[in-house]
Order: sequence, then structure tokens, then C-alpha cells
Amino acid sequence: MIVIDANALVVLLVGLIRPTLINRHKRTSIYDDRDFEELILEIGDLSKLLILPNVWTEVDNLLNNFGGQLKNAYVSELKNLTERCQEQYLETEIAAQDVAFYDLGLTDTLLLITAKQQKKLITSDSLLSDYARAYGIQVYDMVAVANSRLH
Amino acid sequence: MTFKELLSIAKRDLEDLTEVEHPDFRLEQAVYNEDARQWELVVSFLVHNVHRRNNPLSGTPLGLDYTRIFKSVHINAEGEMEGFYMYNQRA
Repeated sequence: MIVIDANALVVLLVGLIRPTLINRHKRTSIYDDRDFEELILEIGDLSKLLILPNVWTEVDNLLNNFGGQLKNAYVSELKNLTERCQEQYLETEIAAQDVAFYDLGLTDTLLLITAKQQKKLITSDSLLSDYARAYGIQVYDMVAVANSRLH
Repeated sequence: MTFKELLSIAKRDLEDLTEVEHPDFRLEQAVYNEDARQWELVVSFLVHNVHRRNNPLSGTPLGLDYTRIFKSVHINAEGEMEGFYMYNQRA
């Protein structure tokens, strides 16, 4: 299974709705349709994605303000993804007891704990990526991929 | 101005803030503010983690040797940095 964080899931979801919208949001402003296509290739099979409820909540908080046709497309794609992907709940207490909680906060600490078990993480969060690499987790770091074109 | 140029300007003006040999400068966000006529970026880079906390039970250090810091950076149309500010990535 592949664990995915909120920003990366935003890129995936918005890309499925309309790729040209990806760079319109501040948090995904450095990405474009090329990043979406590479993300799809990296995932391969959407049923391999493991998504935490905390991540779904963050994503919905970011995207549930679409209007009109885009709102319909958003609801439809989210429904489709929730049906195809796996979901796993972890208690908040587990994160609060982890040493990474101080730096990463709740959702990213739970992602780190889950990724230690699943061995692969897709993230658009540089700090989470730093931690995951330090723990030997295989990381697809979307910020690093996008920045590799800038050096 | 391209993302590549923006990152290059930020890197040039901020690299004195880190003593890490390979600070892994990254462009995290880049939005053009039409009203202010400036680019508003978020960049990140690694610094030595000089404030590592200790495990209260074992006394051993917690956290990583390096820590990543994030800065909000404003760059005008002439490619000059007009300011850089603290940025809380999780706010």
C-alpha cells in the first residue's frame, strides 16, 4: 500500500477534476499537469492508495469551496476515490505519544507512523519527507520532483 | 519571471542563513500578487538542529541532526528581494 498526504491528494483530486486548476491554489502553486501525470504514473493503481481520515478531512477543508460545475465534479471524484482507495483509522493518542508529534503535528505524525508500516509515502510536504527518509521509508517527494526542474 | 529565476534569487539572498553544506533549497509555493506587483514565495532549506530536545526518560537526543525552516519571501518585478519573513507551514 502507498500512503499519501493531504497536499499530494489535493494535486491528485484537482488533476482528476481539471488539471489546469492545479496551480491556482496557493498550496499547490508550484505544480502543473505534468506533476499530476507523473503522480498518476507513480501510484499506478489507485486501489493501492491508503488514505487516513485526517487526510480526507484536510483535503475536504481545502477543496469543498468549489462552486457550480466544479463542485459537482469535486463531489463525484471524491466519491469515486473513496470507493477505490483504502482507508485506515489511527487513534490520536498514538500520534501524541510519538516523538515526531512536536515537529509534525497530528496528521503528519500519523502519516509517518503509517508509512513506517507500509514502507512507501507520497508527500508534498518537505518536512514530512525529511522525517520519512530519516526512518528509511521510500518517499515520492513531489516538492523535490518539481524543484529538480528548477536547478 | 520563471520559478527557476525566483528560486535562484531567494537562494542567493538566503544562503548565508545556513551553514549546512547541502541545504536543499526548495521552492514550496509561488504566487504573483497583482496588487503589490510582487511574487510571494515560500522557500525552505535545512539548518543544523541546534535545539534538539532530549528524551526525558533516557536523556538521548530526539529529532534529526538537521531541521527544515520555511521563509516567506517577497520579490519585486526587478528581481529584488523586498523582504523575508517567518513562515509557519502548519498555520
